[in-house]
Amino acid sequence: MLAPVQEAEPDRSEERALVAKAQAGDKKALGELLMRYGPVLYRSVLLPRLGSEAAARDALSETYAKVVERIGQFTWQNVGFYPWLRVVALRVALDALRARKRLVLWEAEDVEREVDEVATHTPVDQRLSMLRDEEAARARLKEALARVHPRYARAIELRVLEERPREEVAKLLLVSPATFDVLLHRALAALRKALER
Amino acid sequence: MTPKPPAPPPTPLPPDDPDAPPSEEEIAQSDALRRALEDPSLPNEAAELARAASLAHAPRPIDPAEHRRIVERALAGAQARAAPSRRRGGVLIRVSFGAGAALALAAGIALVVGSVGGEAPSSSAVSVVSPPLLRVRSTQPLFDQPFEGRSSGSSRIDRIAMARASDFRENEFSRWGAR
Repeated sequence: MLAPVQEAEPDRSEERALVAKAQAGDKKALGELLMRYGPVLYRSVLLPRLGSEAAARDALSETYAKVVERIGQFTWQNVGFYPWLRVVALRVALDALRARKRLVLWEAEDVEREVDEVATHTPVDQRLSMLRDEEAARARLKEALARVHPRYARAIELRVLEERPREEVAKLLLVSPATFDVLLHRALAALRKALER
Repeated sequence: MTPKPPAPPPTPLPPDDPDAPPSEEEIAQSDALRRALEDPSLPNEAAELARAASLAHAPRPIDPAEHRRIVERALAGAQARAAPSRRRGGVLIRVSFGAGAALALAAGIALVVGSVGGEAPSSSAVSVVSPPLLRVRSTQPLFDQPFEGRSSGSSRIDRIAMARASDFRENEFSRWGAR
């Protein structure tokens, strides 16, 4: 039997040195860390949870402000800088969701649970964390779509997720474009109800 | 006290038959949704949900130039915050009791940071006063091993255990600088 292939631990000495410099007040080093991890944080943590590019950008700014303020409190771990950055971002997202009235895919309680999990689960590195976050977002959506009428789910898949033109989707669903508008409106109302449950 | 804004009207339940004839109101709402999907500046709850679903399914990367601006703003903010404290230091040196006041202030900060510092590195250039740690009224120090995670069989003890676990997590985040 073949032994499982173990991935080599990435060398984090360079990152550790950057963190140490940043903690000593080197803004360039801190900027380099943010430039390295910010895009992943935005794409896989903030954007799916906040549901809008503007809200995710604001949350990223807020996250960076907190990082600048608190970098001195970070204690190095073998998985690197990203898990800490992710917790700071999750807490910023949590505050943003608590302040918001309208429902998106995540509710504040969901993110609160995720933050709590960080304290009890072994932290993972940036790549695995990103894959898990993006998978979790798609799974959440898939679960909600599974709870609505299949025709509603199909309308959302084609028009919203695959971003096909309105007329093309109407044709595929064998209705006029105006009737499709009604169908999509109902489908999104059904999705909202499914998410609220 | 400001009165609470009125709650939005509940979203009507979609019919069981997706192809049931629509009401006038539904037609108007569907038309508003179509326009909002074409023009993101138009406020519309259903369109917002559609965009959130789309972003969860296929998140788009941040524009690199925009990201660079956000990073630069954050770093510039840090410098701006650091600058006034240096100016204040200069003023303090000029007054006769300045040195004493600065020492007292430093001692105060050291006390606060020292009491909550935990594992925070002392060499940090950014001095931060963390939120105080929660004082836990726990019997845990009386036992060598932590309690197991399963239910105790008593809802009161379970509630206490959950509250203590929550306090513990909050303190961990405080020590970690992520609270």
